[in-house]
Amino acid sequence: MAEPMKIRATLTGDTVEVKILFRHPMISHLRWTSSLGSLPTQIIETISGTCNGRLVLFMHFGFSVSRDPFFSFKFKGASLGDEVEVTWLDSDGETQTNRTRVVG
Amino acid sequence: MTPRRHWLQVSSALALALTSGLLKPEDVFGQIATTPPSAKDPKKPGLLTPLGLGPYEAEWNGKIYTARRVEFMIRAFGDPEVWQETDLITVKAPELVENGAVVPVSVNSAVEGTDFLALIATLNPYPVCLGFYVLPGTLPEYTTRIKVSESSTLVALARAKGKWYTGSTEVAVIVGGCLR
Repeated sequence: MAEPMKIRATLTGDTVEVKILFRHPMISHLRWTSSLGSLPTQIIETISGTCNGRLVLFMHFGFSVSRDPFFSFKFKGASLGDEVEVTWLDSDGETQTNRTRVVG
Repeated sequence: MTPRRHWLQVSSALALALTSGLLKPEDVFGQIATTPPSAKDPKKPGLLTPLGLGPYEAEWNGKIYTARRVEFMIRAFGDPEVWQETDLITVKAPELVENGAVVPVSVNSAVEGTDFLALIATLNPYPVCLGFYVLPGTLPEYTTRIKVSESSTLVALARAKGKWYTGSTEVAVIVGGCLR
């Protein structure tokens, strides 16, 4: 959670493909270790993404997403150099934002 | 008390309550007993509240995202529980996976007017993996990595113009992923 997420946005034709790698432990309380016992739940819950202020991504993660989640999606209507910004909010109330530019 | 004895006592108590009519079947099998931490706090501000986004403002709702089956997830939206299996929704995942903690899945919906696309791993303890709102200008497809606890079906649930559709695929898992 201390490390920023990695975002890459590439433009092919008229579609921008955004690939995001979040850094987050994504622990559900089912995880049990012999030394620590049951761990408290800690998962990313809501993610939103904008491109030049326009909302292009809004989604929720559930408990079944892997640790250090990877997510990729596509949207239209952007051009080279536009700024893509992604924010997440997790179950502890922490939030993180990162941004990148669309490259070709 | 050993875990096995504890679960034997819990399950026999639940079975007794279920047969005697104290608990409805929905309470025992329908929803998962725990609610996520944020769903307990109604005053917690949404991520997008300052931007005031109207119809896309949806909190991480305990009932939707802890639903144990497709019909319970549709019911949590307030819709009648009918859906249609279709080939237009494709779920691509490897047929055999060694490590169930990282399973790459790709979902695509060719149904016209899709506005919500979810991914459900049927036999996980928490089946709902993702809820993706398809905004104007965004394509109804995504790729992600999920945890799968045992060999089961992955179901993609889509809502298009008020109706619900599903597409699915089977995944075989060697080592389950939910306890890691």
